[in-house]
Amino acid sequence: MIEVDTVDPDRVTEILAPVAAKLTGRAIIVDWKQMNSTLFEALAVERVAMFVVLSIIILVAVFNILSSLIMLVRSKTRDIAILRTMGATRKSMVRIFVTVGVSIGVLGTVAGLMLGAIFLYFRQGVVNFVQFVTGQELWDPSIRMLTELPTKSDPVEIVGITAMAIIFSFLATLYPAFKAANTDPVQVLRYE
Amino acid sequence: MNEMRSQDMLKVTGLTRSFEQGGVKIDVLRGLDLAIAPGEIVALLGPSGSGKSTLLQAVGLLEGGFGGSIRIDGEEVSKLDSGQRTVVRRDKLGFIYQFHHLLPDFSALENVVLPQLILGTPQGEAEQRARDLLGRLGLSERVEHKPSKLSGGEQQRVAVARALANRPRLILADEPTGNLDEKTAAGVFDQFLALVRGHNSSALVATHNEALALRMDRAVRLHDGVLT
Repeated sequence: MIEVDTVDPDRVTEILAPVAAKLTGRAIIVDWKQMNSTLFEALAVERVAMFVVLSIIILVAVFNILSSLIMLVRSKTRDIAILRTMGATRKSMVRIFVTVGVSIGVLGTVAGLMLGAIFLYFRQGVVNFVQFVTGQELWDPSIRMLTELPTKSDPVEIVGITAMAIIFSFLATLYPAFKAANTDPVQVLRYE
Repeated sequence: MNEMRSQDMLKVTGLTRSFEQGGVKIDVLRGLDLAIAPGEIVALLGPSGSGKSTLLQAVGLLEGGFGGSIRIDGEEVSKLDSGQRTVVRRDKLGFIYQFHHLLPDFSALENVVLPQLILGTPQGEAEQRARDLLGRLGLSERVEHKPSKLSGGEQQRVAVARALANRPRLILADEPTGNLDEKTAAGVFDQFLALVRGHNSSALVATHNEALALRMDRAVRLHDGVLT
Protein backbone atom coordinates (compact mmCIF):
# COMPACT_ATOMS: atom_id res chain seq x y z
CA MET A 1 0.00 0.00 0.00
CA ILE A 2 1.30 3.42 -0.97
CA GLU A 3 -0.01 6.56 0.76
CA VAL A 4 0.11 9.87 -1.09
CA ASP A 5 -0.18 13.23 0.78
CA THR A 6 -1.38 16.46 -0.82
CA VAL A 7 -1.54 20.06 0.33
CA ASP A 8 -4.85 20.56 -1.54
CA PRO A 9 -7.20 17.74 -0.45
CA ASP A 10 -10.25 19.34 -2.09
CA ARG A 11 -8.68 18.62 -5.52
CA VAL A 12 -7.73 15.03 -4.72
CA THR A 13 -9.70 13.43 -7.58
CA GLU A 14 -8.14 15.79 -10.09
CA ILE A 15 -4.64 15.24 -8.66
CA LEU A 16 -4.97 11.44 -8.75
CA ALA A 17 -6.43 11.29 -12.25
CA PRO A 18 -3.06 10.93 -14.13
CA VAL A 19 -1.87 8.28 -11.61
CA ALA A 20 -5.16 6.37 -11.97
CA ALA A 21 -4.80 6.40 -15.76
CA LYS A 22 -1.30 4.87 -15.56
CA LEU A 23 -2.30 2.18 -13.02
CA THR A 24 -5.56 1.06 -14.61
CA GLY A 25 -6.00 -2.71 -14.02
CA ARG A 26 -2.84 -2.99 -11.92
CA ALA A 27 -3.85 -1.21 -8.70
CA ILE A 28 -6.85 0.08 -6.77
CA ILE A 29 -6.80 3.78 -5.99
CA VAL A 30 -8.94 5.01 -3.13
CA ASP A 31 -8.93 8.69 -2.03
CA TRP A 32 -10.08 10.16 1.32
CA LYS A 33 -13.47 11.14 -0.05
CA GLN A 34 -14.26 7.56 -1.14
CA MET A 35 -13.06 6.21 2.19
CA ASN A 36 -15.57 8.50 4.00
CA SER A 37 -18.35 8.38 1.44
CA THR A 38 -21.06 7.54 4.01
CA LEU A 39 -20.20 10.62 6.05
CA PHE A 40 -20.17 12.85 2.96
CA GLU A 41 -23.58 11.55 1.87
CA ALA A 42 -24.96 12.35 5.32
CA LEU A 43 -23.47 15.86 5.14
CA ALA A 44 -24.94 16.31 1.65
CA VAL A 45 -28.40 15.35 2.94
CA GLU A 46 -27.94 17.74 5.87
CA ARG A 47 -27.02 20.52 3.42
CA VAL A 48 -30.16 19.92 1.36
CA ALA A 49 -32.31 19.87 4.51
CA MET A 50 -30.77 23.14 5.70
CA PHE A 51 -31.38 24.70 2.27
CA VAL A 52 -35.08 23.74 2.47
CA VAL A 53 -35.43 25.06 6.03
CA LEU A 54 -33.70 28.35 5.19
CA SER A 55 -35.80 28.73 2.02
CA ILE A 56 -38.95 28.37 4.12
CA ILE A 57 -37.62 31.06 6.50
CA ILE A 58 -37.07 33.41 3.52
CA LEU A 59 -40.60 32.60 2.30
CA VAL A 60 -42.03 33.51 5.72
CA ALA A 61 -40.07 36.78 5.67
CA VAL A 62 -41.44 37.57 2.19
CA PHE A 63 -45.00 36.87 3.36
CA ASN A 64 -44.35 39.19 6.30
CA ILE A 65 -43.47 42.01 3.90
CA LEU A 66 -46.51 41.14 1.75
CA SER A 67 -48.97 41.14 4.66
CA SER A 68 -47.46 44.30 6.19
CA LEU A 69 -47.82 46.15 2.90
CA ILE A 70 -51.39 44.92 2.39
CA MET A 71 -52.24 46.24 5.86
CA LEU A 72 -50.45 49.52 5.06
CA VAL A 73 -52.43 49.94 1.83
CA ARG A 74 -55.70 49.22 3.69
CA SER A 75 -54.91 51.74 6.42
CA LYS A 76 -53.82 54.38 3.90
CA THR A 77 -56.70 53.93 1.44
CA ARG A 78 -58.15 57.37 2.21
CA ASP A 79 -54.76 59.05 1.84
CA ILE A 80 -54.20 57.24 -1.45
CA ALA A 81 -57.60 58.46 -2.68
CA ILE A 82 -56.72 62.06 -1.73
CA LEU A 83 -53.39 61.83 -3.54
CA ARG A 84 -55.17 60.47 -6.63
CA THR A 85 -57.61 63.43 -6.63
CA MET A 86 -54.59 65.76 -6.42
CA GLY A 87 -53.29 64.25 -9.63
CA ALA A 88 -50.87 61.62 -8.36
CA THR A 89 -50.57 59.00 -11.09
CA ARG A 90 -51.12 55.26 -10.67
CA LYS A 91 -47.44 54.82 -11.50
CA SER A 92 -46.41 57.08 -8.62
CA MET A 93 -48.63 55.07 -6.24
CA VAL A 94 -46.92 51.86 -7.37
CA ARG A 95 -43.54 53.55 -6.92
CA ILE A 96 -44.34 54.62 -3.34
CA PHE A 97 -45.31 51.14 -2.17
CA VAL A 98 -42.56 49.35 -4.09
CA THR A 99 -40.05 51.75 -2.52
CA VAL A 100 -41.40 51.00 0.95
CA GLY A 101 -41.31 47.23 0.41
CA VAL A 102 -37.90 47.12 -1.25
CA SER A 103 -36.47 49.41 1.47
CA ILE A 104 -37.68 46.95 4.11
CA GLY A 105 -36.19 44.10 2.07
CA VAL A 106 -32.83 45.84 1.58
CA LEU A 107 -32.58 46.87 5.24
CA GLY A 108 -33.45 43.31 6.29
CA THR A 109 -30.91 41.85 3.89
CA VAL A 110 -28.15 44.21 5.07
CA ALA A 111 -28.99 43.43 8.71
CA GLY A 112 -28.95 39.71 7.85
CA LEU A 113 -25.56 40.00 6.16
CA MET A 114 -24.10 41.82 9.15
CA LEU A 115 -25.58 39.37 11.66
CA GLY A 116 -24.37 36.47 9.51
CA ALA A 117 -20.83 37.89 9.43
CA ILE A 118 -20.85 38.41 13.20
CA PHE A 119 -22.23 34.87 13.72
CA LEU A 120 -19.52 33.42 11.49
CA TYR A 121 -16.77 35.31 13.30
CA PHE A 122 -17.94 34.13 16.72
CA ARG A 123 -19.21 30.70 15.52
CA GLN A 124 -17.19 28.60 17.91
CA GLY A 125 -18.26 30.77 20.86
CA VAL A 126 -21.89 30.35 19.76
CA VAL A 127 -21.49 26.56 19.48
CA ASN A 128 -19.89 26.44 22.92
CA PHE A 129 -22.63 28.59 24.41
CA VAL A 130 -25.43 26.45 22.91
CA GLN A 131 -23.65 23.29 24.13
CA PHE A 132 -23.39 24.85 27.59
CA VAL A 133 -27.07 25.86 27.68
CA THR A 134 -28.54 22.65 26.21
CA GLY A 135 -26.01 20.17 27.61
CA GLN A 136 -25.85 18.56 24.16
CA GLU A 137 -22.70 17.99 22.17
CA LEU A 138 -23.31 19.78 18.87
CA TRP A 139 -19.89 19.29 17.36
CA ASP A 140 -18.36 15.87 18.02
CA PRO A 141 -14.76 15.86 16.72
CA SER A 142 -14.77 12.04 16.58
CA ILE A 143 -17.53 12.15 13.93
CA ARG A 144 -16.58 15.42 12.21
CA MET A 145 -12.83 14.76 12.33
CA LEU A 146 -12.35 18.47 13.06
CA THR A 147 -11.96 20.00 16.49
CA GLU A 148 -13.71 23.28 15.61
CA LEU A 149 -16.61 24.34 13.38
CA PRO A 150 -15.00 25.35 10.06
CA THR A 151 -16.33 28.00 7.71
CA LYS A 152 -16.00 28.66 4.02
CA SER A 153 -17.64 31.85 2.69
CA ASP A 154 -18.24 31.76 -1.04
CA PRO A 155 -18.67 35.36 -2.36
CA VAL A 156 -20.71 34.08 -5.32
CA GLU A 157 -23.17 32.33 -2.96
CA ILE A 158 -23.41 35.42 -0.73
CA VAL A 159 -24.13 37.69 -3.72
CA GLY A 160 -26.66 35.16 -5.05
CA ILE A 161 -28.53 34.89 -1.75
CA THR A 162 -28.51 38.69 -1.29
CA ALA A 163 -29.85 39.21 -4.80
CA MET A 164 -32.55 36.57 -4.25
CA ALA A 165 -33.67 38.16 -0.97
CA ILE A 166 -33.99 41.59 -2.61
CA ILE A 167 -35.76 40.17 -5.69
CA PHE A 168 -38.28 38.31 -3.49
CA SER A 169 -38.84 41.50 -1.47
CA PHE A 170 -39.52 43.37 -4.70
CA LEU A 171 -41.94 40.68 -5.94
CA ALA A 172 -43.78 40.78 -2.60
CA THR A 173 -44.46 44.51 -3.07
CA LEU A 174 -46.16 44.19 -6.46
CA TYR A 175 -49.61 42.99 -5.37
CA PRO A 176 -50.13 45.62 -2.64
CA ALA A 177 -48.60 48.34 -4.86
CA PHE A 178 -51.01 47.64 -7.73
CA LYS A 179 -53.87 47.35 -5.26
CA ALA A 180 -52.99 50.86 -4.03
CA ALA A 181 -52.71 52.18 -7.58
CA ASN A 182 -56.18 50.88 -8.44
CA THR A 183 -57.86 52.61 -5.51
CA ASP A 184 -61.00 54.35 -6.72
CA PRO A 185 -60.99 57.80 -5.06
CA VAL A 186 -64.72 58.31 -5.56
CA GLN A 187 -65.67 55.06 -3.82
CA VAL A 188 -63.33 55.77 -0.91
CA LEU A 189 -64.30 59.42 -0.34
CA ARG A 190 -68.02 58.74 -0.84
CA TYR A 191 -68.14 56.43 2.17
CA GLU A 192 -65.92 58.53 4.46
CA MET B 1 -77.97 81.11 -17.82
CA ASN B 2 -76.27 78.20 -19.51
CA GLU B 3 -75.54 79.79 -22.85
CA MET B 4 -72.21 78.58 -24.31
CA ARG B 5 -69.40 81.11 -24.46
CA SER B 6 -66.21 80.54 -26.40
CA GLN B 7 -63.94 81.42 -23.45
CA ASP B 8 -65.75 79.40 -20.78
CA MET B 9 -63.52 77.84 -18.14
CA LEU B 10 -66.01 75.00 -17.79
CA LYS B 11 -68.56 74.03 -20.40
CA VAL B 12 -70.76 71.01 -19.77
CA THR B 13 -73.16 69.96 -22.51
CA GLY B 14 -75.84 67.25 -22.34
CA LEU B 15 -74.25 65.53 -19.31
CA THR B 16 -75.97 62.28 -18.37
CA ARG B 17 -75.29 59.75 -15.64
CA SER B 18 -77.34 56.72 -14.67
CA PHE B 19 -76.92 54.11 -11.96
CA GLU B 20 -78.33 50.59 -11.82
CA GLN B 21 -79.73 49.70 -8.42
CA GLY B 22 -81.51 46.40 -7.87
CA GLY B 23 -82.18 46.09 -11.59
CA VAL B 24 -83.73 49.57 -11.68
CA LYS B 25 -82.09 52.31 -13.76
CA ILE B 26 -81.87 55.65 -11.96
CA ASP B 27 -81.10 58.71 -14.09
CA VAL B 28 -79.25 61.15 -11.83
CA LEU B 29 -78.16 63.63 -14.49
CA ARG B 30 -80.41 64.04 -17.54
CA GLY B 31 -78.70 66.07 -20.22
CA LEU B 32 -77.35 68.78 -17.94
CA ASP B 33 -75.82 71.96 -19.40
CA LEU B 34 -73.56 74.36 -17.48
CA ALA B 35 -71.06 77.05 -18.38
CA ILE B 36 -68.72 78.89 -16.01
CA ALA B 37 -66.66 81.88 -17.16
CA PRO B 38 -63.05 82.46 -16.05
CA GLY B 39 -63.01 83.93 -12.55
CA GLU B 40 -66.70 83.19 -12.00
CA ILE B 41 -67.83 81.57 -8.75
CA VAL B 42 -71.04 79.57 -9.12
CA ALA B 43 -73.15 78.08 -6.34
CA LEU B 44 -74.64 74.68 -7.01
CA LEU B 45 -77.83 74.27 -4.99
CA GLY B 46 -80.04 71.26 -4.65
CA PRO B 47 -81.51 68.90 -2.09
CA SER B 48 -79.59 65.89 -0.82
CA GLY B 49 -79.52 63.12 -3.40
CA SER B 50 -80.17 65.51 -6.29
CA GLY B 51 -76.81 64.66 -7.87
CA LYS B 52 -74.61 67.61 -6.83
CA SER B 53 -71.73 65.35 -5.80
CA THR B 54 -72.18 63.24 -8.94
CA LEU B 55 -71.91 66.40 -11.06
CA LEU B 56 -68.75 67.48 -9.19
CA GLN B 57 -67.23 64.01 -9.65
CA ALA B 58 -67.96 64.14 -13.37
CA VAL B 59 -66.48 67.62 -13.77
CA GLY B 60 -63.58 66.62 -11.50
CA LEU B 61 -62.84 63.67 -13.80
CA LEU B 62 -62.93 61.31 -10.85
CA GLU B 63 -65.35 58.86 -12.38
CA GLY B 64 -66.19 57.59 -15.84
CA GLY B 65 -69.50 56.34 -17.23
CA PHE B 66 -70.90 59.75 -18.15
CA GLY B 67 -72.57 60.77 -21.36
CA GLY B 68 -72.25 64.21 -22.94
CA SER B 69 -69.38 66.65 -23.22
CA ILE B 70 -67.17 68.33 -20.62
CA ARG B 71 -64.72 71.04 -21.68
CA ILE B 72 -62.29 72.49 -19.17
CA ASP B 73 -60.27 75.53 -20.19
CA GLY B 74 -61.22 74.83 -23.80
CA GLU B 75 -60.09 71.18 -23.74
CA GLU B 76 -62.57 68.34 -24.31
CA VAL B 77 -61.92 66.05 -21.35
CA SER B 78 -64.86 63.67 -21.29
CA LYS B 79 -63.21 61.15 -23.61
CA LEU B 80 -59.77 61.16 -21.99
CA ASP B 81 -58.32 57.96 -20.56
CA SER B 82 -57.52 57.54 -16.86
CA GLY B 83 -53.92 58.77 -17.15
CA GLN B 84 -54.88 61.86 -19.14
CA ARG B 85 -57.68 62.68 -16.67
CA THR B 86 -55.12 62.49 -13.84
CA VAL B 87 -52.96 65.06 -15.64
CA VAL B 88 -55.92 67.44 -16.09
CA ARG B 89 -56.83 67.07 -12.40
CA ARG B 90 -53.23 67.81 -11.40
CA ASP B 91 -52.77 70.80 -13.71
CA LYS B 92 -56.14 72.51 -13.72
CA LEU B 93 -58.38 71.43 -10.84
CA GLY B 94 -58.53 71.92 -7.09
CA PHE B 95 -60.86 70.04 -4.76
CA ILE B 96 -62.36 70.95 -1.40
CA TYR B 97 -64.57 68.47 0.44
CA GLN B 98 -67.07 68.76 3.26
CA PHE B 99 -64.60 66.91 5.46
CA HIS B 100 -61.11 68.35 5.19
CA HIS B 101 -59.49 65.04 4.10
CA LEU B 102 -56.03 66.24 5.11
CA LEU B 103 -53.28 63.64 5.37
CA PRO B 104 -53.08 62.95 9.11
CA ASP B 105 -49.36 62.09 9.21
CA PHE B 106 -48.31 65.36 7.60
CA SER B 107 -48.19 68.88 9.04
CA ALA B 108 -50.40 71.68 7.68
CA LEU B 109 -47.42 72.95 5.68
CA GLU B 110 -46.65 69.51 4.23
CA ASN B 111 -50.30 69.02 3.27
CA VAL B 112 -50.13 72.21 1.20
CA VAL B 113 -46.69 71.40 -0.20
CA LEU B 114 -47.67 67.91 -1.37
CA PRO B 115 -49.90 68.79 -4.39
CA GLN B 116 -47.18 71.17 -5.57
CA LEU B 117 -44.57 68.41 -5.43
CA ILE B 118 -46.93 66.18 -7.42
CA LEU B 119 -47.09 68.95 -10.02
CA GLY B 120 -43.28 69.11 -10.09
CA THR B 121 -42.73 72.39 -8.22
CA PRO B 122 -39.29 72.54 -6.54
CA GLN B 123 -39.43 71.88 -2.77
CA GLY B 124 -38.24 75.35 -1.69
CA GLU B 125 -40.65 77.17 -3.96
CA ALA B 126 -43.52 74.88 -2.84
CA GLU B 127 -42.78 75.55 0.83
CA GLN B 128 -42.65 79.31 0.27
CA ARG B 129 -45.99 79.20 -1.56
CA ALA B 130 -47.53 77.02 1.18
CA ARG B 131 -46.34 79.39 3.93
CA ASP B 132 -47.71 82.35 1.99
CA LEU B 133 -51.13 80.73 1.50
CA LEU B 134 -51.38 79.54 5.10
CA GLY B 135 -50.32 83.01 6.28
CA ARG B 136 -53.07 84.63 4.23
CA LEU B 137 -55.53 82.25 5.87
CA GLY B 138 -54.29 83.26 9.35
CA LEU B 139 -52.42 80.02 10.03
CA SER B 140 -48.83 81.31 10.18
CA GLU B 141 -48.41 80.00 13.70
CA ARG B 142 -49.92 76.62 12.91
CA VAL B 143 -47.92 75.51 9.88
CA GLU B 144 -46.02 72.79 11.71
CA HIS B 145 -49.10 71.36 13.43
CA LYS B 146 -50.64 68.07 12.35
CA PRO B 147 -54.36 68.13 11.38
CA SER B 148 -55.33 66.43 14.65
CA LYS B 149 -53.96 69.44 16.55
CA LEU B 150 -56.03 71.93 14.53
CA SER B 151 -59.64 73.01 15.06
CA GLY B 152 -62.32 72.18 12.47
CA GLY B 153 -62.14 75.68 10.98
CA GLU B 154 -58.36 75.56 10.81
CA GLN B 155 -58.42 72.13 9.16
CA GLN B 156 -60.82 73.41 6.52
CA ARG B 157 -58.65 76.48 5.90
CA VAL B 158 -55.66 74.19 5.33
CA ALA B 159 -57.84 72.25 2.88
CA VAL B 160 -58.62 75.54 1.09
CA ALA B 161 -54.89 76.36 0.92
CA ARG B 162 -54.15 72.89 -0.41
CA ALA B 163 -56.82 73.22 -3.13
CA LEU B 164 -55.35 76.56 -4.24
CA ALA B 165 -51.69 75.57 -3.94
CA ASN B 166 -51.23 74.81 -7.64
CA ARG B 167 -53.19 77.89 -8.75
CA PRO B 168 -55.91 75.73 -10.36
CA ARG B 169 -58.05 77.21 -13.10
CA LEU B 170 -61.18 75.61 -11.65
CA ILE B 171 -62.02 74.77 -8.03
CA LEU B 172 -64.67 72.20 -7.18
CA ALA B 173 -66.00 72.41 -3.66
CA ASP B 174 -68.51 70.00 -2.17
CA GLU B 175 -70.13 71.61 0.88
CA PRO B 176 -66.80 73.21 1.87
CA THR B 177 -68.19 74.63 5.12
CA GLY B 178 -70.95 72.08 5.67
CA ASN B 179 -69.13 70.53 8.60
CA LEU B 180 -68.54 73.79 10.48
CA ASP B 181 -70.68 75.91 12.81
CA GLU B 182 -72.30 78.99 11.28
CA LYS B 183 -69.79 81.57 12.54
CA THR B 184 -66.71 79.51 11.64
CA ALA B 185 -68.27 78.61 8.29
CA ALA B 186 -68.78 82.29 7.47
CA GLY B 187 -65.17 83.11 8.32
CA VAL B 188 -63.74 80.22 6.32
CA PHE B 189 -66.00 81.02 3.37
CA ASP B 190 -64.92 84.70 3.41
CA GLN B 191 -61.30 83.62 3.18
CA PHE B 192 -62.12 81.04 0.50
CA LEU B 193 -63.88 83.67 -1.66
CA ALA B 194 -61.08 86.20 -1.19
CA LEU B 195 -58.40 83.68 -2.20
CA VAL B 196 -60.33 82.32 -5.19
CA ARG B 197 -61.01 85.86 -6.43
CA GLY B 198 -57.38 86.80 -5.78
CA HIS B 199 -56.26 83.92 -7.98
CA ASN B 200 -58.90 84.70 -10.62
CA SER B 201 -59.87 81.02 -10.51
CA SER B 202 -63.34 79.78 -11.37
CA ALA B 203 -65.27 77.75 -8.82
CA LEU B 204 -68.28 75.50 -8.65
CA VAL B 205 -69.43 75.23 -5.05
CA ALA B 206 -72.09 72.73 -3.99
CA THR B 207 -73.96 73.97 -0.93
CA HIS B 208 -77.25 73.79 0.90
CA ASN B 209 -76.70 77.22 2.37
CA GLU B 210 -78.77 79.86 0.52
CA ALA B 211 -77.00 82.69 2.35
CA LEU B 212 -73.60 81.49 1.13
CA ALA B 213 -74.99 81.01 -2.38
CA LEU B 214 -76.05 84.68 -2.46
CA ARG B 215 -72.43 85.72 -1.92
CA MET B 216 -71.28 83.98 -5.07
CA ASP B 217 -71.51 85.42 -8.58
CA ARG B 218 -74.38 83.19 -9.60
CA ALA B 219 -76.40 80.24 -8.33
CA VAL B 220 -77.77 77.26 -10.26
CA ARG B 221 -80.21 74.68 -8.92
CA LEU B 222 -80.05 70.99 -9.68
CA HIS B 223 -83.50 69.50 -9.93
CA ASP B 224 -84.57 66.27 -11.61
CA GLY B 225 -81.13 65.87 -13.17
CA VAL B 226 -81.03 69.24 -14.90
CA LEU B 227 -80.02 72.75 -13.86
CA THR B 228 -82.58 75.49 -13.49
